[in-house]
Amino acid sequence: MQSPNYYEFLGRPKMISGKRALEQIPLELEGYGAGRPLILVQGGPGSRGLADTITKALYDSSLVIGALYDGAIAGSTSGIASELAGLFRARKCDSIIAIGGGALVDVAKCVNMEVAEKKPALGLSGEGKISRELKPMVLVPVALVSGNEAANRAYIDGAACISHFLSPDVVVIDHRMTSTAETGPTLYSGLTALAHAVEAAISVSANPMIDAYAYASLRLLCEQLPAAVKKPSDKKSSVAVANAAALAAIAFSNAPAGMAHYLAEALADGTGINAGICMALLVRALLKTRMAEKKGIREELCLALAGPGMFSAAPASGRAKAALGAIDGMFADLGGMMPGSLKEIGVTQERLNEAVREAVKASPSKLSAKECMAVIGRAWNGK
Amino acid sequence: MNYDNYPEIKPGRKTIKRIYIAVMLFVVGRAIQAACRVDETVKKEFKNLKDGFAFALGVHPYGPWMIVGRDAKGRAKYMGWNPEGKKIPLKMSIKNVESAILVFTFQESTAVAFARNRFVVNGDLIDALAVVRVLDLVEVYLLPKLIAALAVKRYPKWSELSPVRKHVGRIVIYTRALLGF
Repeated sequence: MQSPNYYEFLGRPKMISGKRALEQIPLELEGYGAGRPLILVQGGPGSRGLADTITKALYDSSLVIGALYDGAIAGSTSGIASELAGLFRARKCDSIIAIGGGALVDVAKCVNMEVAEKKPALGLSGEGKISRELKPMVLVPVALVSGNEAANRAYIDGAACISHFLSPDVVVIDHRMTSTAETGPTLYSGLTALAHAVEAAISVSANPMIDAYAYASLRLLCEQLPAAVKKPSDKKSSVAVANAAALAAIAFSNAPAGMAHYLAEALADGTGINAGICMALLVRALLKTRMAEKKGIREELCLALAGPGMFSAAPASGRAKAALGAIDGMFADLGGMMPGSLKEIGVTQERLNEAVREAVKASPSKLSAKECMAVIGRAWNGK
Repeated sequence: MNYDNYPEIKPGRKTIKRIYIAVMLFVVGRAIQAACRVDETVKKEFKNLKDGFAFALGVHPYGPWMIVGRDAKGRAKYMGWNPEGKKIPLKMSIKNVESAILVFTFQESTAVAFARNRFVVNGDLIDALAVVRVLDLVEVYLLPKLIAALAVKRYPKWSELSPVRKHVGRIVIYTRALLGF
């Protein structure tokens, strides 16, 4: 176990997961002195069911729903954020419950920024621009597709807002919500979580707390993601994947975003391909590149990926190989949903240079273009 | 955006579930009173509690509740369902109706529900644990073994509670609970 000289870790949000978890929301909000939430529910097919489920779960509580918005949210834009902030104020709400994932949660966080800081959310983009605790926010995941939902960031009009005040206060994971996710979002949320957990564990900020969160997240993913993708309505595996995504997001909140994250975002921006798939292919390529350069993979990460059985059966020199084998095995178990390389999903070779340039520009930690090229090239070939 | 399309919603009530819980609490409350006169362990637990002790067990925030107190002779006394105006040093609230249903349909034992943080305890935790031990014993008397084994932390062995003592105790406790003495 690596023993760091110094580290900081914020274990936020609180997590509540399992049977009848939704019914805990009123008392959690009561603990924050709130009782009149604005509820944002993911739109689209099946959203009526989600709205009914949450309303019934709040029966017999002292809470009053200020407003329940279940309209379509195509993306996180200033327009929808300020309209919903207006609804929040008009109904005298005091907290937010976001049910879903992706853009909806970004919007919920932006509404929270607008009502708490009393200025447009776009003006708060950047790092550490939020000066105070926001209104209490509960996140109820369906599928955490972007990986930012339970983390300390939100996007508005393509700009990132980063602050530990943006982590939700409570994440409530209940199978009545997670089992309504479709195959695609389940896969994307799992792959994003995999990449975030691995990158946090190999980052310069790695510490025993990050390792603990990454371990839990990666073991859940290795054991349950293929089952959840095959049958997204399965209660046990859908809850496991949602847990893994939330745990990875907490690890990700405490570590700088890594190379795979920036490269995947750059590729997804230009091609419309899901960032989660790109991220997973890139993180595998990143680990393979480290192996090829004889940099090795940390024992803690090898244990998380390979699992106790495979880890202890492998000789010390073969543990990194066993960890990579476990990732390959999981990708194979995902079947046709998981491509073998960036090439297979239609990324052109010309696009790679562009993505590297954008990633280097976006990263505050000054990524090396040469290293990025080596990783993205390997992910493109699928080697 | 037309705000009128998104009106305020006042969540409803789960009446049938609340009635079921109320009946269960009534039976358990009267059974505790009866068990204290029949079972030595329950008697001892109440003797060890402070004079004037009472506890309320129910569902947050609107009930139903059951209140059981300790009389001057150190025996348990069922004090009804309404906590208003009563001095209750220990309040054990189950966080919501659904969690209470899990406990009272024996899908979760009291000990597991405690461990899963489904209870909020206001008062002395040592007294709360004594109450949980009493509840466990009362459930052993009230329920057939198959169900009680799900509801309690550890079902007592023969050496701790012989079948004869258990069955005789069960008849007496049910009779006293129904008749209310």
